[in-house]
Amino acid sequence: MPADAEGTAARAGPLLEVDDLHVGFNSREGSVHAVNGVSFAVTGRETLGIVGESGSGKSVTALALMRLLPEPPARVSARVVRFGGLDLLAIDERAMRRVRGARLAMVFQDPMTSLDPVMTVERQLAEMLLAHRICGRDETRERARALLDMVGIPEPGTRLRAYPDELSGGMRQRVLIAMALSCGPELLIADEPTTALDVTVQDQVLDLMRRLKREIGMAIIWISHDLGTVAGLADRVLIMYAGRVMEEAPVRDLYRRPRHPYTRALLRSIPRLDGGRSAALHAIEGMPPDPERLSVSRTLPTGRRPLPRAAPGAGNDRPPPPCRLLAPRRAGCTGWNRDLR
Amino acid sequence: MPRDAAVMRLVGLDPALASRYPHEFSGGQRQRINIARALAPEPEFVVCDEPVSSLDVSIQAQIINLLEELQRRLGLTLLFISHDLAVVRHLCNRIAVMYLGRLVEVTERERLVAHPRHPYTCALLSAAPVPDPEREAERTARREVLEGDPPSPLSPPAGCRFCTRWMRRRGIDCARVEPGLVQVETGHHVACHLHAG
Repeated sequence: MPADAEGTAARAGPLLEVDDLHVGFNSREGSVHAVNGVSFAVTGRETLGIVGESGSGKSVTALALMRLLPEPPARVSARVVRFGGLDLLAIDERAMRRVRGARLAMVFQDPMTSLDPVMTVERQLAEMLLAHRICGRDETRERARALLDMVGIPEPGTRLRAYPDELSGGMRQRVLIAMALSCGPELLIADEPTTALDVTVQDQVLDLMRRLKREIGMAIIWISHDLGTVAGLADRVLIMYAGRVMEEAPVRDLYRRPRHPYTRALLRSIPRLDGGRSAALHAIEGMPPDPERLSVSRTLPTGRRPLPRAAPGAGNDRPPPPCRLLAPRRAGCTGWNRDLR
Repeated sequence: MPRDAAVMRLVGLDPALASRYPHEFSGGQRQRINIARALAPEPEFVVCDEPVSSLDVSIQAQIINLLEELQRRLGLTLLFISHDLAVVRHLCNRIAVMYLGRLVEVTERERLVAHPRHPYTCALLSAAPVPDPEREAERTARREVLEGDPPSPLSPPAGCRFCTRWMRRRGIDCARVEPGLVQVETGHHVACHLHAG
């Protein structure tokens, strides 16, 4: 059976392999380069954290992998995007529909806009199960109930009949996670799934993710701007900036010995509850470059070239900040520290 | 210098940008403009309601540093409202923790972080993810995950408003009597039956 062959192949190599991904958008003002040559891999059962600020390209990367960006205006290209033996950019939309939601699932930030407000929780789950032929009509209620139970929703039988607006934000996010898990995906992409939640509810969802990771053993891509949530979930972390990977490292190395000045700056810019209170935060001057004005292309020079960072308010009386950011190189590459000194 | 130019300079913006519209600025710059507007009439007291919550961390640090600097230079009193305890701890001298419309604990910042008394404060402190994998693993190993979601403020629970989420509550009073804010040590107030005298 082909599925078995693919499964074996996935276990042998990485589950997902992305090489030199580019995503651009054509807009009236010109061309926007949102993702500029991003490469990474995810192996089975692994959790990859992708961290970046707004406009860093982390969400666009995820949407491109799911093939959810309409082309045009988007332009998606890559040397390789291989998932479980499939060339995701080459297969036709029919084949992609069998993968999307089933083998490759996604959870978005805002549960209210991801759930259909006029459908009960049960119908939304049943739709997934039936579309991907996970079970027959007579079994959907039992399956849906079990899914809600798995994501820690109390009284799942009652909640099945609820509409999204009758649920709290935390419950809605659990329903979305249940929907994403309904077909037993090999890889779950979670894009800022706890950002809209209260901190105590966020903690519950993080706990749930850790439990699912342990019990189901699927691979996860956890996208966040929050270095805190990533620290407890990810095995490996990518730091993105201006559509590129700035640093990639195993989670402990990244937090203990960040190599890239941008990673260091990010870590020092956040106020913390653990340890002593720092006197002043190390703000990163300026702001990330506007992707519209960032005219980087495939011919982006590699090596030690400063990355642009816009000054705070054009014409500010302070001098423009020194460009301390370097072009991307993987963490752990030889001579990295020497390069920076 | 005209007053508007002076106040723009105060918040680190170029007065030459004064004729622009809000959409021509970035999120961080808009927050600087907001702060400039609040400071224009030279107030003594400024209320900041989640002023950094929607900003990226690198921009958030700029605004926090700006607020600190302005407070020092202008001798301002700030009431800083935020859901982010780490930001509050960084910026504020004293912290008041609220739950469902009631103050549950009020004390000096380092005291609150090191010696929280109210179970909700403890839960909040221990629910915040730590940006350090080893400490984060320690945190998740020993903290208690708070059950459920905050109840609706339309029909708050009887007695202590926190009692529906606190599993080790005292059966006696928690679900019947609402605890008042009492001083447990100098400058440290708590509204909880566990600390009622």
